[in-house]
Amino acid sequence: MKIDSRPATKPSPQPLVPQLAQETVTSSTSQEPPAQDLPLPKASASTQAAPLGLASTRGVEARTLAVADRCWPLPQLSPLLAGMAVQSSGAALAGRLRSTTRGDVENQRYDTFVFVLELARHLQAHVQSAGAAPVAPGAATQRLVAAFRSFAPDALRAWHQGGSNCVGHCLDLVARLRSQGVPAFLVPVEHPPGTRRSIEPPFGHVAAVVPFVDGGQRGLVLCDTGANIGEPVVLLPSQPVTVPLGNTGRSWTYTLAADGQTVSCARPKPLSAGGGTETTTLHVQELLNADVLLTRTYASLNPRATLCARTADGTVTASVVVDFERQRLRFSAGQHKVQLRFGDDVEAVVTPAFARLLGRDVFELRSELKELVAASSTLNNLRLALEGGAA
Amino acid sequence: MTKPKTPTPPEPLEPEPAVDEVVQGWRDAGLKVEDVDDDEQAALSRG
Repeated sequence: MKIDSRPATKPSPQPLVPQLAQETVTSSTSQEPPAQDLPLPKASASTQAAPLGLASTRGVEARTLAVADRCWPLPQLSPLLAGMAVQSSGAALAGRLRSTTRGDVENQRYDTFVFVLELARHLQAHVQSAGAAPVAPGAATQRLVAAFRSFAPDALRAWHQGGSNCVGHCLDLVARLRSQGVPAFLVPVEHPPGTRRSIEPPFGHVAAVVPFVDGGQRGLVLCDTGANIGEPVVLLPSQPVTVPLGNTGRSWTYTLAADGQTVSCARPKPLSAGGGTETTTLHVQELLNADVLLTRTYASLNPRATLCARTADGTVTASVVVDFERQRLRFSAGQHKVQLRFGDDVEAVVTPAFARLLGRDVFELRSELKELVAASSTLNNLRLALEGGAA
Repeated sequence: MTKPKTPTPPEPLEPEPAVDEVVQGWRDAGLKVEDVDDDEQAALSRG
């Protein structure tokens, strides 16, 4: 069965208001042609501000290569060239991006079910094609690993079907902005040290950024829609910006480094992990291979598959989490939740009203949950094989 | 004189179900309904 048949149950977000591209072009002092087509707008000759994001990628590559058991390729990173910036104040630029980013968060689900299902079907197809002949010990595991290596999820396609991970959300946003002459980039985010599994690449998240120049001051507008943040965040060097996280009572604080190479994000650690604060690091460089690097591992192999609907301010209104490690399903509506064990009947929880909160068809959602539960042992075997060095 | 035709009002859109309706349905079905804790809610926004 192909996932392509999933209908988009929510309307696609409206395109960015045309004034943004217009302002980008008219406010530029560049002699280059209007920037409505790729390649992206060139730098203003009068711009003297220091460029952002020219850091070497060697540090990241060294850490990547140090992981002997990698099941992902090297990150492909490209510096943001100094000239790729909107000539505007950060506030004005954010004001023009706001309806787009808020609309994306409100109208599109955060959904990794789509990738886990696709991986499960991909593995199943490989197992079936191998036939039922007796195999040597370990051969079945090797077959799973080989099948995983040929798995190629497409986050952007999933986004157009109504829900995706951070990669799908941000790739589409970047594409829409670029089509209107706005230099937007997909940038990678490193999770806090010590929080990733051996099979996970160094980057665990992506966001979109639009560089701007306001007089001699350079900055970034950060769009973190894959983290349920609908508000564009205006970042100037060494000036922390705190963003509330929906109705959680928690907030994240972003700070663009003085050298413009990174953005740190200080966020509360889970209380179950001792509380306190942890820091993620956004690299101000374009990530060119996000799907094979992130979607294939963080989304498809994540031991907690997630589907959630959000409001524009990032409040999660409904969610389903399939926890493959604890063999449980967790459903939330507002501030309330119900938990089931794998194998329990989901029909009393996944009612038509609950499915509508998630913008999903009730029968389709029930069917997907059953399929995810049925695939759990295969997926767990694959995770164990990869973590054990079979990759 | 014929009266001008009154335009037919558009069909009302199906309203978004309220969270309360969903939760009440869970309770009515005898399910154990608990409060979401802060960690769980925040974990849904970790990208």
